[in-house]
Amino acid sequence: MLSTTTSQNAGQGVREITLGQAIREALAEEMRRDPRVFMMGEDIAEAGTPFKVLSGLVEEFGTSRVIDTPISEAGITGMGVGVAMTGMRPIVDIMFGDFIGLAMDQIVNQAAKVHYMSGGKLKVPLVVRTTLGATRRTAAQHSQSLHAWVSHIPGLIVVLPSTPYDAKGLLKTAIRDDNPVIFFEDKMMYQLKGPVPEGDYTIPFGVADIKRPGNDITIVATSSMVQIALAAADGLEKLDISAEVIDPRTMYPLDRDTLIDSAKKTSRVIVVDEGYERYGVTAEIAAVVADGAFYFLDAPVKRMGAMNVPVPFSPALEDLTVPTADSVMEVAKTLCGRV
Amino acid sequence: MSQSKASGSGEFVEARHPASDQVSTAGAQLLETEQVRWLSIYEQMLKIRIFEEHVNQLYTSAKMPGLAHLYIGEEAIAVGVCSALRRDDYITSTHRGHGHCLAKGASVDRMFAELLGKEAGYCRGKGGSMHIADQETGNLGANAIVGGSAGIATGAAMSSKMRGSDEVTVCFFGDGALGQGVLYEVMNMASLWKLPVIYVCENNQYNEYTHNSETTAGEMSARAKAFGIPTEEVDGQDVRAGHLSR
Repeated sequence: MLSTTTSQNAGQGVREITLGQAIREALAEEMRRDPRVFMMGEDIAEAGTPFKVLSGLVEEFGTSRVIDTPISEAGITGMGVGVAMTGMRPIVDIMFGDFIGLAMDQIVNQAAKVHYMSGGKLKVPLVVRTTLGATRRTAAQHSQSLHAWVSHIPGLIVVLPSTPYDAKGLLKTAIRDDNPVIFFEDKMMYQLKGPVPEGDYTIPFGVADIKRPGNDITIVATSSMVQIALAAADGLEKLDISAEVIDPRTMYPLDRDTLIDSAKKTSRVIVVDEGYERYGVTAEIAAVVADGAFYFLDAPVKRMGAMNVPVPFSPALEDLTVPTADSVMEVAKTLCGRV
Repeated sequence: MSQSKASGSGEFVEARHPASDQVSTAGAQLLETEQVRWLSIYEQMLKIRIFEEHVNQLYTSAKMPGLAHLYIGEEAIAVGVCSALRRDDYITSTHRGHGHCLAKGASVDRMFAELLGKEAGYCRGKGGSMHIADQETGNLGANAIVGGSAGIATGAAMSSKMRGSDEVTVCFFGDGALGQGVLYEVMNMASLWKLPVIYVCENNQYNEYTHNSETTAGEMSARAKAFGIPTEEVDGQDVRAGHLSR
């Protein structure tokens, strides 16, 4: 399946709204649609989260459905599992992705295991919303992109939206899915604007989106790196290099076919992701492409991730740790024999 | 007392084992209770004992794969507590959980099938001894992470409250779980939000191989009291005490 960037919901108005507004809209619409849906997390009610993504929701839905919790990531995630197993559809807000370390047993050994371990009888329709992304000058414990951790675990769905349109449609799918879903939002993209239809639409999991078609090289990019890849593709166009930018949108399930088909077409692939490069999701995607398109490749699949260091505070240092449009362009030029 | 409905916030029961200085509080209430009821409760305890003896036999003769954590000696706790619950009340159990599952109504044949990794088992052989779950009897699953089900149990209680149901959830755990932080995180919320959950600490004195005098500071029950949770210590060998608690 190819592009789904156009509205699937003809007849409704399409507005330019931010990614943060798209998230809020998806949550509000789902809570109106289904009384079992509710949210719990730190500072989500009156404060609307430090990112102000949830502002206004407590006014509409009240404190019984937008629940401020103690600072207890393990506790609220574990309770989210239990609530989900017994007829509710919770959305647990983990403010910074770095904090999922505190909730890891609940995510990995409880949420991910319950359905399989019970022989398929019990279900955990839990959504954990959290954030990723560096360059906010928040240093080593508030800047990591740790989606590879949960992508490793069977039983979890892992979603990384990169546009307001994708964010709204994927979050609705996440809330309606009967499996635990970990939903990572780039904290630097909340102000990113894009076209979003009014009203209801969903985007299926496991369907990559071709953000820009091209013929000479494929840039597979996730979340925050999609904008970087698109900027790199603009630069490469001036050099007569036609780059195809593909966003897998879900780390699991992974749309292997779209990635492999693009690799077969272009014969060169770069995978760009903001997680640490070492053992990161770029390695998995590169392996999928190398395996599926081996005889079509003219160059080794290149991986670009965050530098393998704790994220430094100093802006001058921090900016060096993540891929940029320039660094992606340089690698692309090399792969295309243009340096 | 046929229903042990928590009135308001969570409750913490520490069932001590073996019996020490506790005096049974059953007293007068016992006189009113039909003999047949206690006979059935005794029968359930005996069923667990015999079940576990068979498990031991299967395990030591290498017919049962994996691990076997026997509930022998703790039968009175599971039976005392579960016989005061309704079928639709929830429990969460532990790696030493066969007794909880049976006491909540699981059938012996499907239990054994699961222990032997058969498809006829409660989890179609995917869970095994430490993960038996049975939605039909409100058993949200045995959990092989010590303290691992505290969140699930407290969440289930939160769900009951949100759905306007009067179900109660019982969270069974051992004294070893007192070393796990998540237990205190959820006890805090259970008390704060007045959730219908009963935390039953089965104090068998050992955290795996290590005596709890080496692992547990202060008073066990004081930990729950600190959250404002009504707390009671009962003799874990007295099935009437567990049944009538609160």
